[in-house]
Amino acid sequence: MSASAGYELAITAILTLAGLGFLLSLVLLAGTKIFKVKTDPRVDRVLDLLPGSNCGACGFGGCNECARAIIEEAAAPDVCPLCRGEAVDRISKIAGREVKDTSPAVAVVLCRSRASAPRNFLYRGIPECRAAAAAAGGETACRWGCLRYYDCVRSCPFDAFEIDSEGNPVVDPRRCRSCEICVRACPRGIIKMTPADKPVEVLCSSRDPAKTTARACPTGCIACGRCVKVCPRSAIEVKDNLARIDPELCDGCGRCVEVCPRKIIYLQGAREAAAAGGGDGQK
Amino acid sequence: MKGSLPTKKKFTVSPAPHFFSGRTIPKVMWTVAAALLPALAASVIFFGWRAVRLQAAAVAAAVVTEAVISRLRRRPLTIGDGSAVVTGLLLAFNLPPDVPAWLAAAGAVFAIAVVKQAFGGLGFNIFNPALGGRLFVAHSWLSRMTTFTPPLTAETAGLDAMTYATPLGAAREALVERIPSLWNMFIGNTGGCIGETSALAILLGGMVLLSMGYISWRIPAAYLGSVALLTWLLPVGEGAVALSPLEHLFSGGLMLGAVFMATDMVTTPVSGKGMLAFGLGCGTITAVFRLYGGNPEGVSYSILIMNAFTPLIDRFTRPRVFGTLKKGLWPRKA
Amino acid sequence: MSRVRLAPPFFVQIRSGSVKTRSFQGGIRIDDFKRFTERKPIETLPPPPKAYLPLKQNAGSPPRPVVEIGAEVSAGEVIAAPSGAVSSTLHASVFGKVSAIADHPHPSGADSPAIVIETAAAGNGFSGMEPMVDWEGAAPEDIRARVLEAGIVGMGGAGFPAQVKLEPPPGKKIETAVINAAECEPFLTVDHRLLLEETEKVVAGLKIIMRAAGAARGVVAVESNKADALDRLERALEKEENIFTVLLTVKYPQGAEKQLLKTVADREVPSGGLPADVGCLVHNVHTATAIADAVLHGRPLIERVVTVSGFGLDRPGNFRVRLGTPFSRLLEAAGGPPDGELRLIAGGPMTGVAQRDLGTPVIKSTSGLVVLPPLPRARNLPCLRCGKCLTVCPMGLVPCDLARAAEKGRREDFAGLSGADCMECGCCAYVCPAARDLVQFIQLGKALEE
Repeated sequence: MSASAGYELAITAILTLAGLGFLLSLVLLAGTKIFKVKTDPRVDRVLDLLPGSNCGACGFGGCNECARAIIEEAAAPDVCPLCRGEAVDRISKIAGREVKDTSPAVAVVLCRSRASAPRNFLYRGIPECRAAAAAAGGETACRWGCLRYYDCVRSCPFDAFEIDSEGNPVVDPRRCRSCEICVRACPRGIIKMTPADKPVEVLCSSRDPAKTTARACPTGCIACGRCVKVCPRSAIEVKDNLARIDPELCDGCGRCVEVCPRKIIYLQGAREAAAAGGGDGQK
Repeated sequence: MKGSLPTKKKFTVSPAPHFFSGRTIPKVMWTVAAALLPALAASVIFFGWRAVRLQAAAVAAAVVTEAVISRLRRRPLTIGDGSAVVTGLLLAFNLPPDVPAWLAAAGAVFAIAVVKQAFGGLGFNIFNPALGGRLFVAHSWLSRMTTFTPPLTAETAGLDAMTYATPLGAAREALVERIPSLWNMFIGNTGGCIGETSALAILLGGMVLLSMGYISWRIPAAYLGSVALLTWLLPVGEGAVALSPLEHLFSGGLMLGAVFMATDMVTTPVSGKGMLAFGLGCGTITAVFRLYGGNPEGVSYSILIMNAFTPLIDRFTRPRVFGTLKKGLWPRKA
Repeated sequence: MSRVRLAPPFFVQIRSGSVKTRSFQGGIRIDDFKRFTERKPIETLPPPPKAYLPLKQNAGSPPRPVVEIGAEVSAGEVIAAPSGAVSSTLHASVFGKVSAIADHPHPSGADSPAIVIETAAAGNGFSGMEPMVDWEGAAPEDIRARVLEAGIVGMGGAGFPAQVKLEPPPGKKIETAVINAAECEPFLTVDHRLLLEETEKVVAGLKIIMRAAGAARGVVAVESNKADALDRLERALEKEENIFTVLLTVKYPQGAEKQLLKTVADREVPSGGLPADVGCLVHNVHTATAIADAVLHGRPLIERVVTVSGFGLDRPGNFRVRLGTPFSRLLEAAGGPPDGELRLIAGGPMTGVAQRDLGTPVIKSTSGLVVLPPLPRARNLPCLRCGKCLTVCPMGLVPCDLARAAEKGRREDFAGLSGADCMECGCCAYVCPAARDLVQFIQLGKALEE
């Protein structure tokens, strides 16, 4: 008797809950019908092709908004800096617009100094580059160089930065997705996008004359021109007191790397990894 | 040095202002801890070494937990700022005299690890850590947490411990003869949690904080005032005896809550108006709990509930910006 | 511009001898440390061997150099001419030869182009302007032209070109000219000493300002810690019908323009507005004496009084120096900088700028040089949300939330919290127990909005 009463209770409970669930599902169904937002099905297809990391590098609040912007022609099909090659082709096909393909680029911090580099004063304020850059012209004796409060490192959505033993932020090209967020985060503007296959780079940004640079930094480019002389393909020129390498002409022979008296010409990307066994090749 | 200046001097460059009040987090927290000393002394007088045992266990557990978690989160060690000590002490104050020391430690670990550090540490916690810890032990060890033994000095000393009740409990059960005198309630010679019984000692500490400007009068005044007013105006629930507003103020955890817990900087509103609203909310909820709730006491719950409303209160009690008519609702979306 | 609830357009007159002081909402009461220098008479220092004159000495656009390297200049000769509507003139402050026009440390922080003049070993060539004998009958435009010609800017610290302020904006009328003698920044005693030693000049300056701006009424507002100056002033004003004095409570930032007008005229300058919106004009004491010098004696602005004070100085004092004098000479005159790491502030300790080079020169807006003890160690801890910053903010803002919005780069939140209304007085950071650099965060937030 008590058992049957138990069953009855159970059945009543199950039926009540099931009924309730059914009724509520009807309400929800009605809700979705009434409040349905019409979306272009192409938005979802574009969204599938986007990386889904919601990094915001495109300038929109996430991949969903970005997809809508592409379909609504508020943004170019290649607005997402993470999508390259085939993905861009397919997105532009869905959006019905042509884009020219761009070659992949990686961020490079054009400064590689030493922890012992001279400083003009001791800065005690908000520990962020954007704040430190405004304080009395910046703490570092070199007015071009990295301030080392790592706004770039914190800004990177893909964790592509590493900090080397001398305190320099260094981009790992394998993890860089070319979003350019760090480029915008750097108040000194020393992070540049360079072709991913560019073999060699001068890691200095100082346009000051050699004397000033030499006093301000142990590894600043002093525009001595030895790299220019040794380069067999004339890919290097010195402009504004700074050596620069033309990626079109450079074949990555590495002779300039050896002759540079300041040791600031570095092999890039995979070559760097191969040459230094994963380290940054600094003595 | 006279006459010839060194060509190179070391400079410190920092943003304006370059002058500071000298009020720092450690100073604030250790002052709060010092302001808890009168209540600590009262707890020892009325409950003896049982109280010391709980306080020691809770403070030690809180400090150790804080240190361990700072290490795990790879953050600078923050035990020097005194906030863990305050949390430990406040938690111990909220425990009945006869609970085991491990229970106090468990509460402190929960308070620091879950209520404080899991939200990001000091400054980021939403709820008062000590109250969160108390709630945790109250729900985990319910019977231990509702067993009150009389103070050493009570005339009822020697009676069966299980039958002893707090003033609020006695009023709820209409045990009129068990309701202590107003004087005993004021000095703390009643049953209850070890640190909450002596309104006198708590008020002494509160005066210190108030005079130093470390707490604002607004929350305690609004809290105590609204409890007094509502318990005076509203009829008491079925089967209970009414206590006078003064008896309400001096009984249970109200004084400790109003002076030390509802004034916690981190979990309460920032503006003056917001503080008044917060105190009023706490007072209303406490009065309703006390008069009609299932428990005779409701201070912890009311403060924790209002903690949850703090961001909302902050949003709607912005000061008027100089030179405008707007109340500065926040955030004003473009 | 938002409409503002204004008190009826009455003017509170607290005439001579009143002991009642007036003040405003918020703010902080701090030790003013004026005792170090308030009794030290102004001492004139000789011209420096080399004067460094940054072009940027005024708010707005800096003047354009009009001298060549190698040119001989006499003190008071124009070396840079105004370049735009909000600009000023720059004069050689010493007699000598222009030796360079190059980047040099500037008191505001970064390096900035400066004209360097090597002082001649002998002679003291000075070329001034014709005194305006009959200024009382002169047209306001002529007085304003003279002020521009003399290169006068706000000398309290902001450096806003004075002639621009003297011209009522279109459609606005200036009824009251206020001389700001609050000098609420700790340590600084420039205005105090000028009120004592050059009382007549301050009054003359105020009368010229009233004439130039068309103001019927003049007010000198003094904080109550300068009672001796007030006495002197009131004696000088005995015969004046429409110049009044107002005694202010000693509270920081009493000398902030908006707070001063709230106190003196009981009116709030609307958010984003100017003093002219409430019919007022505010000038600093030293600006008034400079205007008097320019009009009555034809002297351009080539020197100013600077308070050198702080901890570890043997002879703190008030010094009259030529513009372009390096800070090292001032510190020497005050007994040399103390040993060890130096925290040297140009201006007052609440709003001044920390310096990093002893060769940095005095410019028109350098009111003081303050040496402070080392900074406390732990800074920028997490906000406790204690709300202390709200209670002291004289603008009714929520500094802790503004700082967080700026820190996280939330531009809309920052604007919604009226971040642009912050005047960076520093009260919030002064009281913050978490030692957060709230003002710097708010500056970052303002930069976000651009």
